[in-house]
Amino acid sequence: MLFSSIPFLYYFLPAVLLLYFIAPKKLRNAVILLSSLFFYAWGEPKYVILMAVSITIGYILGLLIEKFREKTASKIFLAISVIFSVGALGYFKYADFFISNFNAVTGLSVSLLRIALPIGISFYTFQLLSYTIDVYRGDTPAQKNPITLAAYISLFPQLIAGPIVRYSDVALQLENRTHSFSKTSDGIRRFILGLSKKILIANALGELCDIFRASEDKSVLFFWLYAVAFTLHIYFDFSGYSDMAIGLGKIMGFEFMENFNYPYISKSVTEFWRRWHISLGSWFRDYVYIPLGGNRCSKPRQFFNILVVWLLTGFWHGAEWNFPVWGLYFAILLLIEKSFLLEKLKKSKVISHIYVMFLVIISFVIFNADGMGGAVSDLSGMFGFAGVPVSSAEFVYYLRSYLPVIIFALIGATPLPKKIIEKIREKTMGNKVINIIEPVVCIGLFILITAYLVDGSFNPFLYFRF
Amino acid sequence: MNDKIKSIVLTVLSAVMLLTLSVWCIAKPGDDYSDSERRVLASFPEITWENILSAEFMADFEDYSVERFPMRDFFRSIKALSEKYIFVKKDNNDIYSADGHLSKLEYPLNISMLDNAADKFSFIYEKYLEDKNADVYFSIVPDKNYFLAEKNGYLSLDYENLVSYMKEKTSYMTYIDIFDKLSSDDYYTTDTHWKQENITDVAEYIGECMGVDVKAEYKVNTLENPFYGVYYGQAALPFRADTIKYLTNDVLDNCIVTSYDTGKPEKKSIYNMEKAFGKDPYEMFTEGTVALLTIENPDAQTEKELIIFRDSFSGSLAPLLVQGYKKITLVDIRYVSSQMLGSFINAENCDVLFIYSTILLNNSLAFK
Repeated sequence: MLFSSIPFLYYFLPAVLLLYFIAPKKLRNAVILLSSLFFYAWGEPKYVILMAVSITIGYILGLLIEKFREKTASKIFLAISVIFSVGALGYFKYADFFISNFNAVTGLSVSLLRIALPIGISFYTFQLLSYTIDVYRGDTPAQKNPITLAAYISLFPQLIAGPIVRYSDVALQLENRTHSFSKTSDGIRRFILGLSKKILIANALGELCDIFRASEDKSVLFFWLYAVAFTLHIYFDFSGYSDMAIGLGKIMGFEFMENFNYPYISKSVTEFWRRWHISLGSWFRDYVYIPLGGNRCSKPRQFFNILVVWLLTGFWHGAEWNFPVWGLYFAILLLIEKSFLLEKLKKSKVISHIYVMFLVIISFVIFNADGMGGAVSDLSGMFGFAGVPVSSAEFVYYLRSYLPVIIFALIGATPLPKKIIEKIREKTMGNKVINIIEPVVCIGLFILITAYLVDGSFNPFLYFRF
Repeated sequence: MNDKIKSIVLTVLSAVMLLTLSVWCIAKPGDDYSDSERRVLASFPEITWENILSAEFMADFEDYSVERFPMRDFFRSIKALSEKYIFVKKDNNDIYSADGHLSKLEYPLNISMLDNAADKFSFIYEKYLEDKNADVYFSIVPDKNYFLAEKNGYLSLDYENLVSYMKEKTSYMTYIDIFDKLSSDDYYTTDTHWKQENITDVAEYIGECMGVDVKAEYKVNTLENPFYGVYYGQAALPFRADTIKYLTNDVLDNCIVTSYDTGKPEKKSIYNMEKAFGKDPYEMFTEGTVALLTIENPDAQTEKELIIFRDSFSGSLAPLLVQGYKKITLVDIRYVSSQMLGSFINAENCDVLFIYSTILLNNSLAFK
């Protein structure tokens, strides 16, 4: 079920919130679990079983790892957990990719499995892995209550597109959460903000990307318009979803980690990755990079560790060659910055910002391409090697039509609106005015969002495929 | 307002809005039919295990929940206004407003569709017309984007190319150019069609080109009910309704219209006043979208017959050609297969007019 859908907003959410708040505290995790299973089953009825099996195995292995802590058996159970989780991910997400590449290399024709990708498997698998690893490391005790663990893994606000919430971060909240008008209204505001980012900005930019793809009147400038539109689209789509997840979590008493922190204001690629998909970056840092040796090893080994992490990060995003290439692209940029460029970038804010945005735009063109062939074709188009004219009628028309939304998006991708509001709030009168305006704007946006949902048909979530 | 009160106000307002609309959705879903969009809306999906396990139920329920949302037209208008005035988008769902008209983007020129149309015309010509001593004519009706799109900065078809391509492909017919006889004022502001009261000169010119005098005096009648054209509902913008005017005289009043769509001939009058007050009042003109229809003129001073291969634009044009013919046969190959026309038409010594709008030529997939 999509957050940005009428069934979610006007059927599922009111029912769940009513049930949640009238249920006694000790039953609230059960309400979360049942509603999350229903939420997941709405889109993937058959794969609920897969998730239930994953949770059951994770629960049992967590208990066993704790029981045999410091003993060899603990390592074995952890290994089973890793093999099961990575195996499930590999089977459902990458099997056909490996088979088709195997066929291409050997000339054989092994049949593809053509398995539908279970929604959110990349996210909940990583959560499960973090749980068993944290229990193994002794960072957190194993969860004895299966309902609590199942509620954590299946928690619908972040089930299908993150942020990747670590068990250790919410273990206490799973047992004991506080609710207040202040927290609830913060959650509502955040949820509406995320929904607005998704529906008013991301969907419009997504439409523009689709128009470009379908166009037979491409030009160099149209390629660039597409590249900029997609770069903004993916940010508003994904960060909008994270905002919604964080907001819903707050309404239910949870505090999820931030997933984005204005990545497009970064002055280096290193900084960009500290601000973009923070929960995924920190997951790979804590569960792959540091166990491989992290920074505390020789330079060549450190470089190797970075390459491995970014290759995996790329692969995590999809089973096509352009994804690992996208990951390695960033690995190389990060290595270059680490080696010598980082210090030089500090000299000019403007140049460093242009440098980051140029490279990020290129990266997302690779990311969104239809395989590596598509990436080469799109990049050729951008740099005038595709045999298309510099401009075209469609480019001019769609630039005019979508320029306002692009400007809204460019401003919205910076902390400027937030800073302006904070500045006004510094004065007592300003704070009062903002307090009056805020509920009006939120309700106004909610009505506007409903209008777009009632009329619109374009509403995919980009990160559902991961 | 302090922070605490603001938190309470926001929480309560959100909860009230969410719950009110939620209860409304469940207790009183919207109507089965959308007048503004002229279509039946999704109904509640059937609940079966198969439907649920295949997730078909969920997909259908999403359609149902969107299409039956309370105050749907109100919300659609909010979205349209937001697109136009907040996001300053040139079009909303391809509908735009310019020069007091609503219109739909028609772009790009689709050569394969033109080929498809031309192939169908050639087939009909070779099979039913070629050896019948028939005079065959071809005319193209420009859609109103021809007058509105380019000058207002919208994507526009390459009309010149469209016409020359079709002329080349149909060189066996005599082309009648009516582009310069029309302007945007000749079209309804909320609909795709032209106004009958504005095209008498077009009819006269076509008649002249076919060697027939169709000049006549008409009484202009006005329908009382407002006409909200097809673009009105799609645009969801506040727009003034059109008025339908229709032309009558004694000759037209005496005409006998026979529709063959039900399998057996049905006698009707030239304007269907029941349809004039129906969901699409433009269908009042010679029965609207029907496959086969004849107009017989008992007052005709000639034995000449005309066969028109047509789309909906000819509904209002055909009555204006009646003066010059004893019988006009209207054939719409969107609703009858061109393979089967032999049973219905005999073009021996007839005039034959192929007249189609640019929109249909550029989207000719419906031709059978």
